[in-house]
Amino acid sequence: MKKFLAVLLSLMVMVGLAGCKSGTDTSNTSNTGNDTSSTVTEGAAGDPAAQAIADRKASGEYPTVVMAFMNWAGSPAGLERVQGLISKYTEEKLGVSVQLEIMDYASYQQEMTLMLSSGEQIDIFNAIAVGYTPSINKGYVLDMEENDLIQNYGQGILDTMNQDYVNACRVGGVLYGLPQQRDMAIGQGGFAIGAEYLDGIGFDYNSMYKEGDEIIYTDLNTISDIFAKLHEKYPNLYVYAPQEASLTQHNAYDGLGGDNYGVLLDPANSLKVEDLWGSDMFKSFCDLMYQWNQAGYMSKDALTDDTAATAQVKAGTAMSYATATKPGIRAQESGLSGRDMIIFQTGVDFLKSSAVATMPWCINSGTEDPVAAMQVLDAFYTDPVLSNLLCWGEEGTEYVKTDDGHITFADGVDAQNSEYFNNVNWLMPNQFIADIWVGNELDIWDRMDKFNNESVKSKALGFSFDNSSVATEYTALTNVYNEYGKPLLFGFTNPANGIPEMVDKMKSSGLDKYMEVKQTALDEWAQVNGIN
Amino acid sequence: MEIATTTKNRSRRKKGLVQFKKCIPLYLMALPGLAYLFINNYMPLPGIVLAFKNFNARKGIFGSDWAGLDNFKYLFHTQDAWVITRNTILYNIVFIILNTVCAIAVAIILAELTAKVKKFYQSAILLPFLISAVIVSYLVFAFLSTENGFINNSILEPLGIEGISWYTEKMYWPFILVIVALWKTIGYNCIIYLSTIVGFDKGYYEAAAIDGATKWQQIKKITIPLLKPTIVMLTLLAIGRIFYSDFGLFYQVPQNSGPLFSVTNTIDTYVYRGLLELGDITMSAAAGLYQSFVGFVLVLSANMIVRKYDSDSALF
Repeated sequence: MKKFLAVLLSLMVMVGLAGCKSGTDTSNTSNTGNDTSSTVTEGAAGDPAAQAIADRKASGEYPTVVMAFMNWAGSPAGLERVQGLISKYTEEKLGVSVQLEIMDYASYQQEMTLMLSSGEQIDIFNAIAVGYTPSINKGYVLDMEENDLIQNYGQGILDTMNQDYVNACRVGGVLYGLPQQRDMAIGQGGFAIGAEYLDGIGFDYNSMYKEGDEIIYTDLNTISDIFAKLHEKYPNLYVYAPQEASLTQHNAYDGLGGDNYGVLLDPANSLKVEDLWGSDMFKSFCDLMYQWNQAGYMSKDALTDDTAATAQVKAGTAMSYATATKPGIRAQESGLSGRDMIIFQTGVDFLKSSAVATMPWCINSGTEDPVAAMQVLDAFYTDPVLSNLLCWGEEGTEYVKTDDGHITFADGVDAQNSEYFNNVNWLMPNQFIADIWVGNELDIWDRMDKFNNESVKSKALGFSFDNSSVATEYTALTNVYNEYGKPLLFGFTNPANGIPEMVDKMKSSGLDKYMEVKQTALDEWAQVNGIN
Repeated sequence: MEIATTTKNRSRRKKGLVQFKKCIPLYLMALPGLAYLFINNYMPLPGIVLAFKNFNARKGIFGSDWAGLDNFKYLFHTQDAWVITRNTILYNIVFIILNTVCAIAVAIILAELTAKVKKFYQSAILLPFLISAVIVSYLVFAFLSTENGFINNSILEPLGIEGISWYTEKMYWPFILVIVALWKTIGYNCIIYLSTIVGFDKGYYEAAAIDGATKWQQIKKITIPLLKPTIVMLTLLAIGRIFYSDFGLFYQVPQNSGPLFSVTNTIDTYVYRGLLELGDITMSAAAGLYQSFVGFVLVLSANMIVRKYDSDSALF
């Protein structure tokens, strides 16, 4: 026994020493990386961006920039080919080759965390799933304004993107990531209902459209009436397929930092952090869901059934679901549900504080050539050729232009067999400069811009919350939410008993402390940014 | 006195050397396994420091700031701490007892069967162990689904009893989980007992039969006593993992249903749910360390107790 322990201990010491050695190695490498960046910046004069490109071309050695993001199906078959086309273009334009790392959503977080923490080469990555604040806390991301990096090499990005949105990605005043062009606001309180079912109950939705709209603006009573009629006419179908996302899609509060523990209940006017779970807003939503559930509108197995609502409608088992709306929503939901969907909206268009910085593009702090990385990122934000390649693949192989200026699948290609169809253009740096797919209006991006700009904006826009000092409370609160949240949101628990129980447990799990820390951070942020 | 000890030591060392030389081929055979064990189980050990660190990729694992015991706090923070610890330990105690009893019973029955039938039964019993927890969860769902489930539709309805909403009624779940766990693992657990029983000298049983012992007496007086060292060893190993829970069983099988948490939440599921969005490596490292540490202490103390009463059966 003693001998065994002795051997064990000596082994542990040996391994410990080996581990320490590799630890120091890593820190050395990262230092060298920083040194390179500063020399390059100092050496550049006049137009540093053009200078950097000229230097690279003169040296004849093209560095490779690795860019990582996620899609739904994992690395596409045509990756090498599209990547080759992108590289050919960027080598000519910037003197840099580009390598794409595309992973499916489910593995993205884990693989990225491993790659980023082990020092594998990743130059540009999207912080979706990995999380923006965690990435900053763990030191994965580079300060983009260090040595004026973005001012010198990414001016095109600053010219393209709305300055407010760029600033919304600042954490503690430091710019670690960049937003992409997409829908930032959320049309609150949306419902998608199958057109054929509405026809079936003789509901005249056509007369309800205001001119040029794709969405019918109405109130919850109208929806309740429709549901009652649908249930009567189609007793064997589920009227409504509930989803957890309806919490944020149907309640115009601002979650502050992406969690729901301490929120702004009146985000357009007040910066007071309040409790969502004990609020009238949450209560009345749960009451409605309880009422609908008791009326038999939902599946009794909804709590354990993870099938997407759109898939249930497509399969013909459910007739409607809640959704967030935006320009192009009718085409999108009809496509997802495989039948014509009519979109109703009962709330305002609302832009919450964390909407902009949920999935920013970041440069890895361990990159060896931050200048090249920034220039590649700049090119994807500003060059339509590159944006088209990244969003849609190769013209003639993946897609073709139609006569009216749209693009569509090339002959014999569809969503299933296409070799490059990522379906995540909202994640790409700038989908607004890429071509527009058949089924969407050609002016969709103008409308999107208008939608974003005219929405009700949270006063806290740009505030992000670092919860690392209250991570203990956060895990406890998340567990409480997991226990009570879904049954309440789906109307399986009577809110009269369920909500007080949930609030009690939240309080004993440190909700007040969490809210206090959040309020302090928010007040500090407001003072720095001159908001009151 | 001194001289005597040194000679004794020397001769012992000499004997050890001879012994070592004799066993060289065996050591060589063990080498790949030891190498695997070293790479897989010992090389990552320095990573334990993560549990006490405030990890920052720029500073590296060893350069990151110390966090003291902060990373452990969340495990003990709320009243849930009591619930998850209670669930983990009580379920495991029940599993250890039932698994041992049932596995031995099945092993004895299988040992009595003829070779051909035995193979069939053994495979059939082992099969559930090889099915992934996600699939098991849907098999269970097929029984328990409120609207389309077998129990509600084909058993309760014909009897005129109203269907039960299984996934929101927590009173049934301790039994459901124990039954599922038993069904799933019994085939695997009985393998070692079966192979031990098959290895027993047939002479004991023949002698007992001649003396007129019944089957039951043979089992009670021969099989069980001979199995005792195996039972003690397997139980000690199981105690070492008493602070771990089968994640698939406690997360997938109840379909992550909130209303059941007070009877299905264990340390593993609590940590998973809490850290899913946070993605904090150091806090999960802390949870892992806490589980292994308690397991380590329990194995040592259980072994100490066993050694006190029956030193032959103790592990070390």
